[in-house]
Amino acid sequence: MGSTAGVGELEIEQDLAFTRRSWRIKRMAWVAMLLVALAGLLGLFGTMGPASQGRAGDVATRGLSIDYPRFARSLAPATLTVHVGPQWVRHGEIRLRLGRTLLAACRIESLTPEPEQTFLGPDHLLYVFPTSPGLDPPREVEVHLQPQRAGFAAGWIEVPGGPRLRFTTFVYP
Amino acid sequence: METVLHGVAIYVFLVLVFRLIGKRSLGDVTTFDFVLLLIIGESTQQALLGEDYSLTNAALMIVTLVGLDVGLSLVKQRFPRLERWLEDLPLVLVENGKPLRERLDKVRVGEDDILESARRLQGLERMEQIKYAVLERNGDITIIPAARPSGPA
Repeated sequence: MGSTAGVGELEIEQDLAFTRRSWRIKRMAWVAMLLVALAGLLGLFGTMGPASQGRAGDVATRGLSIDYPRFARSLAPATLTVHVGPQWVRHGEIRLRLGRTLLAACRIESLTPEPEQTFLGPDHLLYVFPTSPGLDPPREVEVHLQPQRAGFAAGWIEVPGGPRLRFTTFVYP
Repeated sequence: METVLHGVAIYVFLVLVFRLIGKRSLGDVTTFDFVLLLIIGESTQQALLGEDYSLTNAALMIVTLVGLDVGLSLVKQRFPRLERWLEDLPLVLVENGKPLRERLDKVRVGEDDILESARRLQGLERMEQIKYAVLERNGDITIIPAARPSGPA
């Protein structure tokens, strides 16, 4: 019915074999797009969703745990939540060390709560958070980050004298 | 460096996506297509420039995109065989008044779309008056009217 030279009296470049092949390819592409959308919903591309949140450590046994994003995106906000157990509250304050390797890839926008003091260590930053006395409050510190470039971003958080928790985030461009 | 990489990545990505979703999504300016184009434009804007609003960044991005455009047209000229992959080929949808069902379904064009083009381009009234209806590479539907029978009706 059709060839490259023409169709009936119509001088036209139609190629059914090519057109059918391109339909097949388009169909596969639609499936791929659907899968990409699903992956996004599941959090494989970052920000929210079951696949994107990771946890390291254990507050109950070691007194320190962090919720960190397994996937993040360049120039988009990401949050690290540190949970500190009661045993690490010394002299009414909590001290946290944040490894400087994270700073190579991310910018720290803010911390909630804001630390009272920040010290510069050889390979880390030391934050001091005063705590209020009384019943066990949830001891959570949020670190608001903005990844600056794509690739793997590795970091660690530790309590002086306590466990060090490592984490790795893959940052999409 | 990121500017150039981002520009190339987004250009290639958009060309690929538009090439893969099918011609009709672009050739026809209905409300849906308009909304789509609008939103796509907005989505790429931020990704193109990021946080860098300098003149240099904008100029670099523009040069990159224009360069890609020129480069692509040179490639098409140099390798004509590539043209069908980049631009697609026309497809006959109606032959001698008979709509080709399978093809219409595959390209998601309805008989009413064909009749509309027939009205607009040739002032035709019915499907039988269409000799050929062709889905062109850019998504337009062109119509060749059937020859009028000559002599007394």
